[in-house]
Amino acid sequence: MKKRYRRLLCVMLASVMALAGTGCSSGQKEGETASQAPASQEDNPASGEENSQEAEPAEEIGGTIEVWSELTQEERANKLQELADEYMASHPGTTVNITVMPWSGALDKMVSAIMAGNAPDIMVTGTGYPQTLAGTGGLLELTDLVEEIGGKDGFISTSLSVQGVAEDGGLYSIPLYITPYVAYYRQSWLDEAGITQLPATWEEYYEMCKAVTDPSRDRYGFALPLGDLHGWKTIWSFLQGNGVDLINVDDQGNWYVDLDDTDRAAMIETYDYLYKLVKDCAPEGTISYTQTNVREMVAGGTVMSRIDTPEIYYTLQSVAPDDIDDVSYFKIPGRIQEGSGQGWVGLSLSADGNTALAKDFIQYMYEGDRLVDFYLSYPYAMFPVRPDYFDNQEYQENLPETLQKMVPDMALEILSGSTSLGMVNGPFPGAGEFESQCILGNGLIRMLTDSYTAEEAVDYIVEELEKLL
Amino acid sequence: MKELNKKRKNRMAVQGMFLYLPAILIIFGIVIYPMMYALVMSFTNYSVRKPVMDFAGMANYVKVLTDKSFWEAAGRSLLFTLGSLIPQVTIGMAMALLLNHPRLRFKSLFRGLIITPWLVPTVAVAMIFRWMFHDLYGIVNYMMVGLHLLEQPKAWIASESTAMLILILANVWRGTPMLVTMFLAGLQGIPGDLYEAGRLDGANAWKRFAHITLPLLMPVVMVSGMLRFIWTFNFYDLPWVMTGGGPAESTQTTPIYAYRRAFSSYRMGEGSAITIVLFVILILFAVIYFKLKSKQDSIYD
Repeated sequence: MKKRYRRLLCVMLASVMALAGTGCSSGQKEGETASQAPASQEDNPASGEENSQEAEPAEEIGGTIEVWSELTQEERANKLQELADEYMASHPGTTVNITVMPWSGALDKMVSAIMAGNAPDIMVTGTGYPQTLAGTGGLLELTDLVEEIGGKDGFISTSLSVQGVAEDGGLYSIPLYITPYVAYYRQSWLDEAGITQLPATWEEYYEMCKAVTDPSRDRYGFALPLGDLHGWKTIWSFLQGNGVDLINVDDQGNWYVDLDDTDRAAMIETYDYLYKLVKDCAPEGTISYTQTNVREMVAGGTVMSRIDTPEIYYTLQSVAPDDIDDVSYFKIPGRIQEGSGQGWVGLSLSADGNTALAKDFIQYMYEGDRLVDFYLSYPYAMFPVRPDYFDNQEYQENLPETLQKMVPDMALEILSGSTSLGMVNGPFPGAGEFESQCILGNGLIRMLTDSYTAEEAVDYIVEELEKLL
Repeated sequence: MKELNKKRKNRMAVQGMFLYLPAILIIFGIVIYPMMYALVMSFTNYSVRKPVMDFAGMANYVKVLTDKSFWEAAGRSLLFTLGSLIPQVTIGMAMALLLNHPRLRFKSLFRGLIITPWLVPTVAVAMIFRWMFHDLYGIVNYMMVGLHLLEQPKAWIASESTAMLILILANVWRGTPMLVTMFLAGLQGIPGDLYEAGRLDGANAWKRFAHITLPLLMPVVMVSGMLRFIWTFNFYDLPWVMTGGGPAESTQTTPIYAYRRAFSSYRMGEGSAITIVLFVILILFAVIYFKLKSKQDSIYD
């Protein structure tokens, strides 16, 4: 009998351990949100502010702020640290601690920190982060700070008014940098194929990619990373170019899949086009490639064109520095309009932190042309969020040669017309999930591997999107 | 005297309790509490975007259990698990028999070498297999085309029909050594007298294997197989790094489904319900495991 109980106890303990393994990651505490006390009262002269929007700015600014930054690359991490050092030197009695972490898992860490009541004072946020984090009640509303640093009109269109806004209409993130998407080409490959003009239409783009494709020489005109969540960048850019919004919001704030007959036909046309482009011009493995794989293949001379940020030049610098001059880019051709995606990074503040010091530090960063050096430290990935920076002489003169043809006109044109995934009509709160579940990419994969028609792929996408609403 | 013994026993019990207390507190804090919290949360529609504990009844469970994707993921998990386990057990046993052969030289060296794949981090295994089966640069395509087994390179990981196969292959390569080690331990526990008696009775090698080795090794096979089943069913790292659940969800196993469904949108209620469902599935296997374990113990007793 005793033995049986012991066995039962063993089973229960093993079960408990198994559940804890799967369950503890979801163990947030109820109510531990915005109302929580900061981790360190001593370091927080602004503590006690229930809502900084209503609170008066603290008269004396001091203490310590913690910054979580995902800018891991040495060049830009050092520049951010330099900004912090300069600030501390000119503001005695203040300390800015920057913790660098990878993008991978960053949102999870921020959510956990906010829920646990020990969020950093400033968080570097990516696309969709403000919308997710604002819901926790742990982010500070920043309208007043935006006014202090030049007002809404001082920023490039969607970078602030969509990307930094949450469902309740509040501003929860100040754009730090944005990145336009472009299409790549190799001049030597075009010369070989006798192509003298860059494509301006989808048909010309297809013809260009097809003309340089030669599997016997391991040469492919096009590829996109369908093996990870970055596949959306290409597909979204083409959908934008064909006028497909996909997601919309009504007057009551309800989000819905916005696909009337015209939009549906345009979406089907886009998927048919992409299917043909991939089938005829991309390596078969593109279905499983990650973004890094495709970048390496572009830099290594296996793939010519892809839709991406100009960051390919960093890969070229390490993989094939001699080819830098051979690789160039152009605006992604549109069908009924120009379309592009947008890379975006912003700064959000914890509602419970040393808000006075955090705001003051951000104000300091955006004063004058202080951010110019920061943008120049990693220029292919970080473009200014304020149009006036593009005219800055120091910025223009110190840009790498390969970027000079883009700045200011082409970059501003792309950036002012581009949106992030699902955000054409506002800050779609499910954007993060839309991206991470690879819904757009999976539609195309189903066409390539499961013989779905474009109509069936669109139906699949709509069905998956409706689960997010 | 009796009273003294009783007092001593009580003192010992109290001392024991104090010694256990830290472990009990830690288990309560990091195991029991999160488990109970997950259970409570699974009956709410708590999400990060709306952090309120509204009671939702069985809604999350109904949602999970009626979601076609959940059952598809469970089916894939089963395929991945059985597809990995059967070759692991078969190859593992063959290798263990070989390594246990009395005439084998350099046994220690081979036994050391055999464990090497188990020492390679899962992420590294995933990356190595990704590159080996890369459609353009992979060594597998290079060799198969070179040997005229393939006309042209194949995109193994990009194809729904072969992606799961490659995933299973990587898992078999990595997981077999662990089973070899366990089977070896089992084989060394079989008394040599039995084989000697078998030989005297005229049993050939196959009969000795079928009537002595296999029956006596079976409890080890069952227990280690069951443990491996539970681990593989819950295995997240390898499929995630190698295929990310793709192409088109063809390798999306239950842990990947749970992560995507629950944690990419921080729907904690739904996520907790998935963990509870997985928990119930694992309980069944845990019960089977302990039943087998007790059977094994009784055989050796």
